[in-house]
Amino acid sequence: MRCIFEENDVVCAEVRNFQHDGSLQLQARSQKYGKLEKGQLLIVDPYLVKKSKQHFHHLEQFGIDLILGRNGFIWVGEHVEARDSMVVDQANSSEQSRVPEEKNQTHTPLEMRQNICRIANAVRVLSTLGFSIDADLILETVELSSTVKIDIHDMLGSEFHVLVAEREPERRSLMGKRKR
Amino acid sequence: MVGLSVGEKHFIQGGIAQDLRSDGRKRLTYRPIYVETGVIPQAHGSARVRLGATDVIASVKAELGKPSALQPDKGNIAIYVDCSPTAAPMFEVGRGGEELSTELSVALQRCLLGGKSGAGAGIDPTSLVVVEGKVCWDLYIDGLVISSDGNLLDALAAAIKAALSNTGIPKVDVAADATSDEQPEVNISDEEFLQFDTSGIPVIVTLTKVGRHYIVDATSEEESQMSSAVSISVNRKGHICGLMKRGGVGLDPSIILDMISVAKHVSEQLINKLDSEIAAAEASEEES
Repeated sequence: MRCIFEENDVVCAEVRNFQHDGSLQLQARSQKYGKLEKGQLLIVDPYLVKKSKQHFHHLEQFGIDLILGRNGFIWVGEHVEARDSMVVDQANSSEQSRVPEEKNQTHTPLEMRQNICRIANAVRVLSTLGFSIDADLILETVELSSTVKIDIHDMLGSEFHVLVAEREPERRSLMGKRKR
Repeated sequence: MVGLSVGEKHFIQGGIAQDLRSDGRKRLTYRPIYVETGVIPQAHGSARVRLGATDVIASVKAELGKPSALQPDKGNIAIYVDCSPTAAPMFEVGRGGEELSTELSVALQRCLLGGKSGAGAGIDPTSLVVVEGKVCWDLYIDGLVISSDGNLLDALAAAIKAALSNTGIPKVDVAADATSDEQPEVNISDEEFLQFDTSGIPVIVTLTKVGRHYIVDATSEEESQMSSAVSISVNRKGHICGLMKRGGVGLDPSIILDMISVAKHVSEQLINKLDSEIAAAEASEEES
């Protein structure tokens, strides 16, 4: 198993069921699950991630995967194509020996990294403000930061927090109107 | 902080190489600094400094004591740091935080107190003397780490600077008819206080080397990837008051010289920012 997973690896999986003693059974049977690399993991309070239909989001305009875990672990990383399971097994055994060397040379391209950082900071701002985190809110926060042309790092300063907080009542009243 | 996977480590190293760290900072950018003063009313001076998720408190207490026989014209200053078990999981178990506490205490003593003779100190010990050879102020500076997310040394040095700015030493009246052998009577005033001149106190800039580049103000994740770290204490005049290197990897001397000049450059901005934050904190403390 160690040639596939090691301690501290980041993995996305679904909870299949609970055992009587409290342990969980996880499943990762389709290609959209598995090891996560090329990105950053954010840890927020679990109550901020509400149950929804979709927890895996592929943000096409950024080319980024956003995974909202109900345990509060949020993954923001480069998009990985879900490959066809039949072809994978043969290719994997030869690929694995190559991958470590490749990593030493290729880093994430700068623009992709900027998008990842912007989205990650949006999540951090929402977590500090105590707002429930869902993909739509994250995207709106990222758009807001681009509209006011704020530096990625300045998103974590007080002014942007105030901006996001001020915009929230408007947003909620709009959503309330739409539902009715 | 949970452990880091290989993919995450690679992402952090790549970010530092490309000058875009995980929170969007450049290599030489500090996290936003928040300073509050007067957080411990019973102490003569105190301050709390937050640097991202790193949160530290410094307090200054002054007691009357006797100067040492070797240096009768100087007061005594002691700096001690404690890492609270709530700061990080590794501090919870038994003596986990003690090694780090000792390391931080010694580093701060070197930077702020100068050599054994008191020469080159950031805080002038001669200002603490009341009656030469007989009565002096003993300053006890305590640092407490409440939450640790990297760069503890810089945060503690900033907190100590802020706490000393906030410190008021009571005025002491000495009875005039004291004979040369006896301890003179002293009357500690409750009303009037003397403020310290803190413009000479240095700040500490820690440069963490990851791969081929150095970063300022590393988070704990970034620190876990470091090969070595150099902490340089610089004062307002641009003079170096202290220098420490951590980490097992050796550094070429030319790199150390380069780090020193980078630290000097970064310290100018940091000192200005810190001074304005301390002034703002003192102003808002007076209002409330």
